[in-house]
Amino acid sequence: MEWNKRAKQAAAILFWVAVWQFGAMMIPQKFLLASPLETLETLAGLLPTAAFWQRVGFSALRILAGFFGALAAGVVLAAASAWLEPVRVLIRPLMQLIKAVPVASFIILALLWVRSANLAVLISFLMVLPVVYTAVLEGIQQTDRQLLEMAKVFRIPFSRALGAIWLPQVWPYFVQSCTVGMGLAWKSGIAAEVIGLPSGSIGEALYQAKLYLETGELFAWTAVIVLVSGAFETLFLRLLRAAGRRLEGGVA
Amino acid sequence: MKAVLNGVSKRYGDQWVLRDLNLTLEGTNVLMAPSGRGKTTLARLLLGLETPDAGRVETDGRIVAQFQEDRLCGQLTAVGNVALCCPQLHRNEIEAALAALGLCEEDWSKPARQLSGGQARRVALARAVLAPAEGVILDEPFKGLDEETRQRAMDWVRRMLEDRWLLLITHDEQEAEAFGGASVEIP
Repeated sequence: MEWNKRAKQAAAILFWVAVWQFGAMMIPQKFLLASPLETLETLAGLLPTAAFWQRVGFSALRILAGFFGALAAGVVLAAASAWLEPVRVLIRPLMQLIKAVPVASFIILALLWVRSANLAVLISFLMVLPVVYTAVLEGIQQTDRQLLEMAKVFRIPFSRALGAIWLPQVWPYFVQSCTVGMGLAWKSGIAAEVIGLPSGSIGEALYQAKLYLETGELFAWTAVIVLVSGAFETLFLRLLRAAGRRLEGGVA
Repeated sequence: MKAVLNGVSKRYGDQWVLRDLNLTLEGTNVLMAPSGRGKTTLARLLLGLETPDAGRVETDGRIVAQFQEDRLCGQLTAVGNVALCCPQLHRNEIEAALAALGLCEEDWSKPARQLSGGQARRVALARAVLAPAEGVILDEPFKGLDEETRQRAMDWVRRMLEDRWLLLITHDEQEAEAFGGASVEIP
């Protein structure tokens, strides 16, 4: 069953790679659309170079800093909003504003406030924050009222109620927001780098590839972003799921 | 140790559920009343989960309850659920209580979400009876138990709650008779 599903997925991917190859062959101007083979060749050329790994490290460090900062801030703000109504009232328009403002506007505005090297940190943070905040707040608000009443009646200390009642119920909401947030952090972080052009970043490499019509390089760097983002997402989700299983395991 | 209600009234919206209720709970008390007469509201007032619209609720010490619903943490084991509310007990004391209520050893370490309705009911009962408190409210505690298990559970509860006040809410005349004590009327 699982093999059948995987085979179907692989066939679908192969189909679209074939369409891409066919499209590249049909277009005479090579700079308009690099073929899958050319992309792969360019990627293979980039992989052994130190500069490639330095760029990946540079961008990943900043984007993940923004992502984890947003996780921490989102959880703290959501907890504060759940317990204190004035905080919720105060935070709500701010989160709506962040969600509504186009990422490009934030990037241009943020360029006035921070050095371009740190732009991706701020933009990733801003894009992930409302996602985590909204999800965690929803999780807290959806926590089983009957169990909370039980905790009150039996005078269960907050530290024990946190592990036994709150965390297991909020966790799925948090994990879901992390799944969405990780992809969002990479997309917005790279967009910030393409506009801010910090030296030594993936965004800068993308921009230069576009400037010199190096379509193969443009496609190769795009593939790198997709792969690195996917790898971090998979790794982080595995860690979260392992932590979730520990929570599910409970006590005694 | 006792709980006293002085002229307690409670309403939800325009609907009065309790009106001018005067009650003293000491020893064993049995409340039998049809649905909608304010049994759950009375329990919630005693537990401090609701505030009266008029009158006063005075209680000596802590009151715990077995709610109408089991209210167990699904991911915790049967023992874990009791331990969460009874940190003063050792694991073997909890296991002894679960055994006394007829739960097999293999069920003690099962997550609560995997327990049957009757098993979960007994875990919730053990939690309420073992928790440190001066008063205990049991709301339909033996619902869903077969006759043999119910008898065993009733004997255990009577034995364990000898020196505390108990409010037993039930629809079952046999249970009310078995526990005896004062009959509580809601006007």
